[in-house]
Amino acid sequence: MTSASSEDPGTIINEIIEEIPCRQKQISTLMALFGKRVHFTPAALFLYGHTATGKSLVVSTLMDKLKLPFVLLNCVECYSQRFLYEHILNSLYQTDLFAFDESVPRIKCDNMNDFMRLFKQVLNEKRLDKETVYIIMDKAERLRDMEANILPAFLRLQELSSSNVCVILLSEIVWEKFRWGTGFAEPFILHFPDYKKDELLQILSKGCPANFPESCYAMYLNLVLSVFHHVCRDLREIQHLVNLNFMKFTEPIRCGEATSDDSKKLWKNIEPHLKKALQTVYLREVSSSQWERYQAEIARDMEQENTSQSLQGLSHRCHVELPYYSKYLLIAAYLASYNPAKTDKRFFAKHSEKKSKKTLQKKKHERASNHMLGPKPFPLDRLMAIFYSIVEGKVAPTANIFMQITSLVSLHMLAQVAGDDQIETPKYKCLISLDFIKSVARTVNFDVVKYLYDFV
Amino acid sequence: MNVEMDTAGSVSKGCFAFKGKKKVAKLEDYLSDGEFGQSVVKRHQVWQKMWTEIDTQIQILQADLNSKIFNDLLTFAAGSCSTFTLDNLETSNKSMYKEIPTAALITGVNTPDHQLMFATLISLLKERVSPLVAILRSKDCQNVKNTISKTLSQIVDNSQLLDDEEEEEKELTQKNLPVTLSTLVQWYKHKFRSQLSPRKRKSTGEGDVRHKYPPVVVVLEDFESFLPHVIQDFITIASSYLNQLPIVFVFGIATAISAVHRLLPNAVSSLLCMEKFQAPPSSEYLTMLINQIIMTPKYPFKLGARVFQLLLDIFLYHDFSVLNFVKGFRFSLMDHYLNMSLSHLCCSTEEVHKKVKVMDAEEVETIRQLPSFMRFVEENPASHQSKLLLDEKFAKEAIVDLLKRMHSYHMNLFPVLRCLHKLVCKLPKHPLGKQQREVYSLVLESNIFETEAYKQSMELLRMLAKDELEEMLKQTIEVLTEDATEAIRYLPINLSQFMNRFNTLDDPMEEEEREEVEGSSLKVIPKQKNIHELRQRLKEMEKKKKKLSPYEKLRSEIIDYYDSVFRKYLVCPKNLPLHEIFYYDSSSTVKKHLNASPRSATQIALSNPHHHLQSINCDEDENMSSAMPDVCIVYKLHLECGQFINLYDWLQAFVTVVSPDAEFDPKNPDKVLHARFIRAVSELQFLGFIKPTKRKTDHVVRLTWGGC
Amino acid sequence: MKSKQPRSSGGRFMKVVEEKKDECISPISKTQEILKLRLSQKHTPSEIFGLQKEQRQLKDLIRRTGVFGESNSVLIIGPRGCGKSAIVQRVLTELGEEEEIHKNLLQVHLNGLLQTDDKVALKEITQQLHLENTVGDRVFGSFAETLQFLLEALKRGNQTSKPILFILDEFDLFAQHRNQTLLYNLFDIAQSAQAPICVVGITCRLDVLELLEKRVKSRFSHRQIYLYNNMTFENYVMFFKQLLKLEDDFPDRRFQSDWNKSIEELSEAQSVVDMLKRQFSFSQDICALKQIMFLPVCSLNEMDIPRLTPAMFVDSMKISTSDSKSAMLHGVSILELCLIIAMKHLTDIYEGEPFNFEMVYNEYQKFAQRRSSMQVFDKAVVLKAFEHLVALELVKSVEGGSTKIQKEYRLMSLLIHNTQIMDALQKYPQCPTDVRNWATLSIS
Repeated sequence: MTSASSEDPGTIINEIIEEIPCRQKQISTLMALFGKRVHFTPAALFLYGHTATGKSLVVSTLMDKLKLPFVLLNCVECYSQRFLYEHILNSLYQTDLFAFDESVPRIKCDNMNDFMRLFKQVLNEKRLDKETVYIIMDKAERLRDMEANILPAFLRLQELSSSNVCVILLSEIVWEKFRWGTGFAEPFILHFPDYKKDELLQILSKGCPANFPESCYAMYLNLVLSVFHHVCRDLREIQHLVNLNFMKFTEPIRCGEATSDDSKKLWKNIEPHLKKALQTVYLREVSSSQWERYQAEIARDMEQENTSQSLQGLSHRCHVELPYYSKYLLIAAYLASYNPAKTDKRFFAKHSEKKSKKTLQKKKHERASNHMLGPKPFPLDRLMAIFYSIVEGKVAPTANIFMQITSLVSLHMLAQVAGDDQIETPKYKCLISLDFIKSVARTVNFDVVKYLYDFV
Repeated sequence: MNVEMDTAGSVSKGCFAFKGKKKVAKLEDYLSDGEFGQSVVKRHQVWQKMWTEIDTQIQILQADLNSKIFNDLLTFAAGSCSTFTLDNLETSNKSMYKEIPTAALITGVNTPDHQLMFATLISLLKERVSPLVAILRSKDCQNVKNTISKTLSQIVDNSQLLDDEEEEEKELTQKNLPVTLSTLVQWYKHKFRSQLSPRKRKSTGEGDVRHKYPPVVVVLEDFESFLPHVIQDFITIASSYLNQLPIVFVFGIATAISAVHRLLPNAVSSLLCMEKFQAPPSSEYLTMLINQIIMTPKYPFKLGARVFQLLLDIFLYHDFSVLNFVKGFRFSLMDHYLNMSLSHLCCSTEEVHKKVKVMDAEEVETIRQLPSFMRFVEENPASHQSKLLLDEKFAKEAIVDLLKRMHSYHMNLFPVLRCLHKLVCKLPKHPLGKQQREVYSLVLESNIFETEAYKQSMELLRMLAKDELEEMLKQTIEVLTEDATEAIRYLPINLSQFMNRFNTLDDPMEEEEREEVEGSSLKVIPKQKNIHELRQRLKEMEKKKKKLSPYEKLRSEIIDYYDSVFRKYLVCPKNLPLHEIFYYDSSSTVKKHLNASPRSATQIALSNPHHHLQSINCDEDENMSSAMPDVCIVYKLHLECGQFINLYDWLQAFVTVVSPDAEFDPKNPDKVLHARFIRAVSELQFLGFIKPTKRKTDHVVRLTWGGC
Repeated sequence: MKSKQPRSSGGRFMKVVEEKKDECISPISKTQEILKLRLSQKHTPSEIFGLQKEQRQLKDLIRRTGVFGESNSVLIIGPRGCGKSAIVQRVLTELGEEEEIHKNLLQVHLNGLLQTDDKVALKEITQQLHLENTVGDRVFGSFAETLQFLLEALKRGNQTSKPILFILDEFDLFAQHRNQTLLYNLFDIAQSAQAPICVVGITCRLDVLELLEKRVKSRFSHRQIYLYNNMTFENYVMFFKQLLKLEDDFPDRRFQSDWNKSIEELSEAQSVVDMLKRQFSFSQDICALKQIMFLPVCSLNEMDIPRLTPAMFVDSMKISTSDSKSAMLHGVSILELCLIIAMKHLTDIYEGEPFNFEMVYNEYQKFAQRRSSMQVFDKAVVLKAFEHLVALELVKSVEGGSTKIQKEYRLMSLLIHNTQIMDALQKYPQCPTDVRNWATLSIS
């Protein structure tokens, strides 16, 4: 018995709760379930809740604080059951790969049966058979993708290995979606609810930088939450945003225009930036430092000419320099995969007759536009035909042209869908968005919308 | 029993590829050792010398091209994990929301160049940031396991660290390490945590960016083409080890940052903290290259207008690949030295003398044959002409002097060119183009000052406002002083005089100022007698009629001055004698080698075969004759058909062409002809011009429609 | 021997408790420990109510093998947690007390979850019969050969071979093995009485016989023991009490008696009875019951909670029966909520036809532009939110994950029921009214 059991759980609980705010209920429940070291626990616990609701944090902290014997593994890593078993066994056995004495060999194991045997063996050797051993599996949903017997077997590990073990599954997905196949034992299910707004405040305020007035920081957090709370609840994301905009927020204080308590001014200063950040929430394309610069330059050309930031931000994001013919090839591909083939004649025939009433009628009631349904594959020769009809000047079909098609494929702007078996008619599909093609077409001043069936 | 043996025997009968020893091709193998073989050797030497010079120059460029962006990236990589430590895990564990620092390096779509770019990046990372660098390419990361094992093998057995731990290398080669990141973590712990200070100093080296725990940098070269689920899992795994292993990602993204979101869903992308690094566009690199390699007097070899344009087109229209451009340049250099028999004269100024001295009679003769030399001769007075054509010694002197003139021409050309570019690049609608290279190619084509665009832009210049003009003056003066040869040293001086007159424009004594100005201008008339100057003169006259403001006068004067300078120096090289020696302009050859068009090649081959096989009797390409290969005949016939081709009629036509005299009887066609026809048709099908169809019996469908 | 192991190890735990007693642990925590052990998967109840008949049947079947060396094969079929394994354990322990059987009968325990194919199974058998070294590194042609050899090996020593009891838990999984070789051989041996073996299969699949191949089926003596819906509510309650009561061997007699009294009272309490009724009607699974009882037992402690109260059970019942999906819905952001509603509309409009992101975004945009209060987000941002929903498996791609179609156009279907959405909206903290209206408007 290690000394941990002697120290009083009450104090530990308190300090853990101290450390992890807003999770008292879950923590105390878990503590109760774990009980004394020698006690039995439910065979399997299933903790679920959104990302960053402190599932793994709580569990791992408990483990550390109570000095319990445990194995923690991330099921994403388990590309084979072998890996799963060996990881558990070896980390229980504390085998050290690079130990310079070769005395302890790594345990090898590649099926459930051996695992059970070895597992018991290890427990005995490590004198762990008198207390509960915890196996914590993060991202447990991945277990479903592995061999069918693994998940049920782990749920009944206690029974099958007839030893005092507790399997803890962490997941974002509700338990209903795990029931599949046979041999299940229901785990003990515990939900980690999402944080309320004030809870979020409380947690975030722990990150208040030293020598910065708490109250002011709290105010700042309030501002940020008031803007972002309805679009994103993910604590991690909000944290990111908080860090992102903090410098901007404190700017007036630093350059002495405002004191830390006149909230009005500060809000005036930060608000537009938060609004802008709202446009790109979730897409973390800039680190805070770059965000600063980016904001600055926007501000600059704000005062020069009034361009709308969101637009500019976008063009900033997806602007690609392409060789001249690649642009046309891309446009051709886009037209080919978003226009029905039968309309090509109308768009590209030299003397295109006025489209008759009938076609108009037809368009009316097959209005489920192709931009809803996504790109359709098209054969190479159609691409080339359109290409030749839109590109100005005469272009020899040189090897370079065809090379560009393949390079566009490798850039994932086109995708080859079929026909890699027969060489003469490969089929492609255009993968880029309307905005993108528009911006490309603009550079060669080609009005792409005029040629799109959905928009005529 | 013996049956088995037999089978075994038969099995063992296979063909085995033997890697023959690499045969080093010698110069002689390439060059037709004809009558002037040794001159070829001479040229080859010059070529080699020149290429090595140019090549080193290119290397230098490559090195300092991305230096800026790379420096940022390196500092980012080094800085991102500087706070990392293993010493007090308890505390470092507690940092709740950690993100993987990630550098998104936007490389641009010129994929051919990336290999090189990343090679340099890796080496830089290794020497400046951390020895633990792994580069992953999508083609060998088809699943998570491969990805991790690639990372492991690259990091764990990298030489700089394993100086003292052979057993790990051994282990790893034995592949008995479990392929997981936790292996790496443990290894890392052993390496850096349990380090005694002296070893630490040694292995992690010195330099401020380094610190005790070097980050593990993972570079993903072609991010777009990774399999989504693989990369997602890999990132997730990495992030779960973040508090034990300082990982830094570098994504090589060819297109745009949005590609990241195509690959990574929210759950994964929220594990990253990205910073974007935009590599300079390759066109910038190209401009540098052109300035350093082509638009410079350093290297006598020059590209002719057509080739230069061609190479530019390949770059701008097809692939933004600088490497390919260089390849093209190298090719034309080589071709020039190979085929231009006099090209050994295309060398640096110092060598001209002795090179010419050692020339033998028929080489001189070949020079005399050169059209440009002819023209030169005609321009000379009759007395000289005969000497030039007959007296070898005299001729040689003339040649030397001409060559030198060529060199000095180059010396002066480029500064003036830049000056011109400075003037016109800001003009509305850019009549002479934005880029220097555009101006240059204009110069190469013809006398630029005769072109419409030039005149137009001059007109525009004549309307400049004062401050603009002043600004331009400044700039051009700078440009000219920068790299002025003594020949044009006087230009900036004159220009700066104009500058001074700007300052004295609006003081009272401008009157006589003006007087003496026009006096000077009056003085100049008798000197130069060409029509142009007269026209200018007349202009000035009428300007004087409607009272010009002093500034306008000064302006027109300045512009005239510029104009005269350009007319002096920006002559088209084609008009200079002996330009053939320096300028390579056989664009067709280059096109054939660098911008081949296979399809039209086959069509040409089929439609007029004599183009390839020089047989006399089918020279006229339109009407077909029996002398042509069968497939050509069949091809020509099928060109006249519609979408569906009736094989029977086709055969009939074929027979009539092949043997016009023997009339065709449907009962029993000539077996041989029949066979030939079928063979030809199937060849045509193989080439993809026709294909069989079910829609009509004994018909085939035509697949191509002439055109391209 | 494996079968003994649970009991022996259980004993060990008792010992632990003994040695911990003298470092005075309170009777409460001791009780807690005992109860926890009972509620764990490892424990098998000391007596099973309402299954005496089946128990007897099984018992003398096994005994006949054990004593007279008959060969038998039987299937025990019944829903989960109805006490299949329990009665087997029970029978074994009882038989274990009988001297001759104890030393005569060998046992082999197999489990479909562990022995995933017949090679592994065979290895396991060898180990459980302690024949590894007799087998050594012999190589055998066929499976049957090996099994034969094992049985032969057991014969050695005294002529009459020892009877062997094979217990196959999760029997149906064995039926999935290639050619059902193991089953075939076992049944074959049992039928043709080459060696005295008894095969006991335990499964919860009523159609298990359909899983067997013809040749296997024909060799199986169609003896089956069905245990289902013969548990009465009384039995259920008795289980409940029995699980909570303390045995007489509890050191502190006074505590034990009034503890048991408290349990009696507890089981009388109306709320508890209702709770049990509800659970009973829901399922008769004992494990489920244990699951519910676990938390209350855990929450016992010396200072403030000395006894179990009805309230505890009601609470834990509530926890175990809460709708987790709407619990998750509670956590999504308003943007994501809007998307869900949009999808709901699409599903309503196109009668459950699958939809793709573009359509959803389109719907969302239409809504957001109508409402001035809402802010319209970039497609990229919305896509991220959408992905989050996919990650939560509230939305699922129709054709499996690994399609080459881009995210935006992948066909999806919504996995949340309208009612769930609705009550999620009710519970949702400060949900904007126009969003709520939007959701409701579609119903009509």
